[in-house]
Amino acid sequence: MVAFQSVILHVDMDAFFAAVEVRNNPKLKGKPVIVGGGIGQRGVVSTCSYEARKYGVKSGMPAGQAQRLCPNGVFISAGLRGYIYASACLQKIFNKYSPVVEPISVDEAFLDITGTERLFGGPEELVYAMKNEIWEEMKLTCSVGIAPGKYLAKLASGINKPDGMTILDRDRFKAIFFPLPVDSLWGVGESTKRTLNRQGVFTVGDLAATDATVLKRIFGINGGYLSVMSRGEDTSSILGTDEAQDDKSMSHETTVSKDIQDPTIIKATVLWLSDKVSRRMRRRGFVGRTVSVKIRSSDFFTITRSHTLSRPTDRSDVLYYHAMKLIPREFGMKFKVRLLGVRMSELSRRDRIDDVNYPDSPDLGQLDLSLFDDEVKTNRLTKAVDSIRDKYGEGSVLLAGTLCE
Amino acid sequence: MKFSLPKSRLTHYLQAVLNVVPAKSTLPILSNILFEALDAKLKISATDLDVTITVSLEAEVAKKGSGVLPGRMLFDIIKELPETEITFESTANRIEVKVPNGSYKVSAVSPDEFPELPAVNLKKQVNMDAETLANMIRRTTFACSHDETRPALNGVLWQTKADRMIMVATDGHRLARVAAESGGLKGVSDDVIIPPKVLDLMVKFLPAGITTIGVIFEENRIMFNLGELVLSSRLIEGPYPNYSAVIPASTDKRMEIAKEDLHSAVRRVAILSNSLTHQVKFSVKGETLTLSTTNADVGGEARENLACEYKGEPIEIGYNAGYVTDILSKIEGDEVVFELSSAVSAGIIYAADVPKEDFICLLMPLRLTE
Repeated sequence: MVAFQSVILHVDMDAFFAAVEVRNNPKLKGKPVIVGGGIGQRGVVSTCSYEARKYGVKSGMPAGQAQRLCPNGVFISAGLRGYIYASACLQKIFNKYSPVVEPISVDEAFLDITGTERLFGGPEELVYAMKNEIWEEMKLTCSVGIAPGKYLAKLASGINKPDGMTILDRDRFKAIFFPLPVDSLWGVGESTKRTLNRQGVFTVGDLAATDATVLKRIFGINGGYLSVMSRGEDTSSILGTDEAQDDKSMSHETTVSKDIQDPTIIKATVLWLSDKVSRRMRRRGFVGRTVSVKIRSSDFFTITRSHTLSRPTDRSDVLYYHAMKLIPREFGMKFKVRLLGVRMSELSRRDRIDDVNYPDSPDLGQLDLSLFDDEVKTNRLTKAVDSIRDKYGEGSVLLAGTLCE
Repeated sequence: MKFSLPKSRLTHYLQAVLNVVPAKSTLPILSNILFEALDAKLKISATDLDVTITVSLEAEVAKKGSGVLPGRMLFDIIKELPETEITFESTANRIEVKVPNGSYKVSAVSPDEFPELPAVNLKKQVNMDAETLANMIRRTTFACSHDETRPALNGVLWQTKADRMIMVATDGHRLARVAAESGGLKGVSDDVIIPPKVLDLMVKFLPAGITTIGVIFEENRIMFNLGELVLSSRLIEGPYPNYSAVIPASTDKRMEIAKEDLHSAVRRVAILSNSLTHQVKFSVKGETLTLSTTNADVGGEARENLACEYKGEPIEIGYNAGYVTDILSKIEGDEVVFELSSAVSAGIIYAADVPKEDFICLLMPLRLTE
């Protein structure tokens, strides 16, 4: 019997894209099915069936590598429309079982089922009913984690896959995770692992035994998070659909077609991404204050950095300037870059800000030197380019700086 | 790594280096200071990725090596010590700070984690007169903008034109332009835009008695070599707006007035000004400048008359008192000149006995509200 103060489910569809493909084409049943995004050698594996996983194929792996590992694999390029439809059907089912659903991606969601015992007889009964309905309606299976917080629930759903259900309380967490390496925790990547190992911290148990203040000193705010998570003391609650789907940020990222080391190409790519993001913001009437960049090196070491501006903007040149500032010098010199992303967050509606260009000097009567004729011209130019793109498509006008290779 | 040095020397330099250590950062490594023990020499460095500072000092080095320590924590420990010799020694993953009555052990981050520091290329160094450079900086950085959506204005423009070098800063409301003989700078560098932080730090730590400063221009960086202290900074990408177009070519009104009298009168009158606009009205007529302000919030009103020399039609013009005092504090000499044309256009402010080419400020008015 589950007796948590709050009960959170993490529902994770089993090999979702691949499962949808197999369901739609029963001939594929039992074959190693590999679904990828992107084109040709540089594509990335989105999902693969459990048969393909036996060969060592994993999500996020370059398609070329997957092909080497599993030469008999059936490669299918992702048919996103079908997955989105399936995802919408799933969402409908989730909503029957909980009023508080936080989708994480097309095939994963958190459900807060606290207080639903009377309706369903308890968390396990609810999960059986829901899994059954998903199977009956959609012929798909999922794995479910039940825990007092989001984070533990996410770990729990991964323990017994596919078609499993796992209840994870603090004691069970200790028994299962303490002997495992630190990177089995959600959110601990390659670089965090390396830093921890250097401090003599190798297992989750070691991490739990490390003083939180030491971790905070090394990792900043994330140190506190690591400490709480490593002890299984997670009671994080979830965001409802409305909050989670609110426009909190706009971003664009790209896995480059060839690992890049040349700073000019990095610049061109960041310029292109900044242009994309700011164009989307302008189209949807937003301005943003926080600029973030995401960079992944060819050895899958990923960093994100962000900076909050003194006032919001939707201008691509401003976004580009601050994005470039956030990219550490080491990238493109020491490392090869595999993925670049630019994000704008802390968004507000443009029309709710009196004057985007001068919001920090509301009309107090201070006059300006006419230094900004260029800026006025730039704004006019941006508007003109936007209207051409509205009419003739995004590719009709390009920034010259993005034209390399 | 093992080295020793006297407490007072260490605190002096630590304090300088801590100016660059960010108070808050998404990169925790930046709150640390890098110690490098070389032959009879110790180098201490910090960076916020934009500005980097390195001090080199003599120290007794028993074992060469490097280590990274939390900056503020270390400073807080050391500043409380009486004058003494302090020894630093690193072990596997800790650094021990030995003091006469005991020791402090701090877990240390690997020096490899510390950002790579820019190399000092002495071959490219240009030597410049320290006093000239410091004076130019003191007169410009105050006018830089803090608006991050106009990055170019966040720095000081430094350019050379024929035998002159010019520095300009503006936030769109006021502008400062200062010029001097370019000395060895001629033809060395294109126009650069320098963040004010590194310039202010350079002036702050200019060692007493120093006559020349080494300047090194790299592609995206600038370095200032002050001997035992080296500062470097990322440059801001341009273009800088065409500032010369906004400097009025001719004006039809000229007021000359005793600077200190005006400065203190503006400060007094401003006390009763509106707390948002800081508006003080300048009314010039005949040989009198009247400063006045009203503040509806506190029901206050202030007025002072000052004698001045004035040529031109009477004028009433509003200014932000803060901007006026900022400028007056940078102007040398006893007399200051205001060249004006209208209540909605830029005024030129300069010292009566300094050539206009050397130093002027522009100030845009506030629209009068009465």
